[in-house]
Formats: sequence, structure tokens, C-alpha cells
Amino acid sequence: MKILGKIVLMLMLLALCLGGLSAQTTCSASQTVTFGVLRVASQSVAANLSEGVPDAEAAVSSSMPLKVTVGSDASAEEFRSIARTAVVKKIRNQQKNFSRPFTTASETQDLLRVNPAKSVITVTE
Amino acid sequence: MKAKLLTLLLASLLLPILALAQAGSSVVQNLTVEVKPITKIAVSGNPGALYITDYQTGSDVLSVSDSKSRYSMLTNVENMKIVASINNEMPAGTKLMVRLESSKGLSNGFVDVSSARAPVEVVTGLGKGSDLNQTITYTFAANPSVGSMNADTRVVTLTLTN
Repeated sequence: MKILGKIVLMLMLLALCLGGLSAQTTCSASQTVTFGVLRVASQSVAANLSEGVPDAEAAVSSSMPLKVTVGSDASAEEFRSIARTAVVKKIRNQQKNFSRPFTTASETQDLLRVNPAKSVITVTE
Repeated sequence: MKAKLLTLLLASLLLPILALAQAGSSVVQNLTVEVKPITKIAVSGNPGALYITDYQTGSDVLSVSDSKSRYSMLTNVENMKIVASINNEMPAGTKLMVRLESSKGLSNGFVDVSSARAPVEVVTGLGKGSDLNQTITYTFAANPSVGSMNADTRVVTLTLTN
């Protein structure tokens, strides 16, 4: 008889617990947020140093971080930087081949050197 | 004499039936009534994609916002709040903030949920009643040092709780 009483008491406690759970005051809703950084709207901030000018130099400064692009075709290489000043140069290869200039593009610290030459250097924000 | 006795006997037999017919009848039912705590929150859908496409002139931080999605809530409990959490932390150099408009409670304004694996409060002091079609604004921000970043997603969960 005592055992039966204990079983009944346990069942009552279980019912109370279940009742508490059903009265839980919480409800949720979810949203999926999609994000990304796409650099598709860059604008040129400096005149290109174009082909046919073996010795040329241009300094560019901007309030925005700059991107230096060497080359103008599908094989163009981009050098992104958070620097806000860039110096781009095209100089002759004076050591080996006078007829083929090579191209360098320099930020304030890092020199970007491309060989063989890619003639057009563009700086964009 | 015999006939009178028979009449009296018949009448005495019919009296209880007449008495019953006059008393009528009734039944009783017990109704149990209870109003349980109700908390409901729903959103209208996902916000628009947050893509940063260019640097903004004169600003060190890039950001883009969306206010297209809405939420509605209903409760019969006092002093409720809405908390927000995110399923994964945002990438380094980026930030995701959310602001829930509220006409029934107190909005905490833009709340940074970039690393809110544990819920953070976005609206507090909600009382009994409903707040329908309220604006949710998301702002995604990135430092200038962040280069191009492919589209990514995070799940933000809004919870109405006490």
C-alpha cells in the first residue's frame, strides 16, 4: 500500500512538471541574413600609364583605399591595398634588354614588379 | 362501496406520477476554464541581401542596411522581451547589427549581434497585447581592410521570452 502511495505521488509530481513545461512563455522566429562585399563599382582615380610610354610615373592619393591594376586584358593583375597613396612607374629594363621595358607599380612601401611588361597601369578606389 | 375503494386505490397509485411530472428534471455539468500564457512571434520573411559594393566617401567603415522585413508578436504575459542570437559569428572585420521597432516596448536601437551566440536583448518592457507589422532593420558593416567577400549567410533567431 505504501509503495502504491509513492507511485501515485511520483505521478502527480510528473504531471506538475509537464504542466510547467506546457506553460513555457517562449516563442522564436528565425531569419536568414545574406551578406557579402563586392567591389564592382570602382572608379579610376588616376590617368593610366599607357603603352608606348616606357618611362612614366604618376603619384596618386585618395581618401579611399586604392587598387592598382597592371595590364588591361584578361590576364591583368590586381593589387589591392588599404594604402591611400600610390606611386606607379613604368621604367626601362636597363640591365638586360633595352628594348623591352618592364612595369612596376609601387605603393608607399611595397614595390609591385611585373615582368614581362604589362603596359597599362590603372589605379582605382 | 367496493367501487369507491377501487377508485381511491387507483388515485393513490397515480399521485406519485403526477408529483413527478410537476417536479421537472435537471442535469449538472462542470466546466473547467483556464487561460494559459501565450507568446507568439513571427517574421514576414528574410531581409534583402546585404552587399557592400563600394567604399563610401569620407567613411572608414562600409555599411549597408535593409528594412524590408517585419515582425509581429502577441502575448498575454507582462514584462516580456525580445532577444536575438546568431548561429555563427560574423567574419573578422565585419559586423551585423539589428534594430527592432516597437510600439509596445522599448527598442534597444541597433544591437550588435556579430558574436551573439548567446541571446542579446533587442526589445524590452513588452506588456500584454500585440505589436503587429513592426520593422526589422539589419545593418552589415565591413572595415576597409576587408577585401572582396563572397556571399555568406547567417541565421538570426528572434525569441519572445520573459
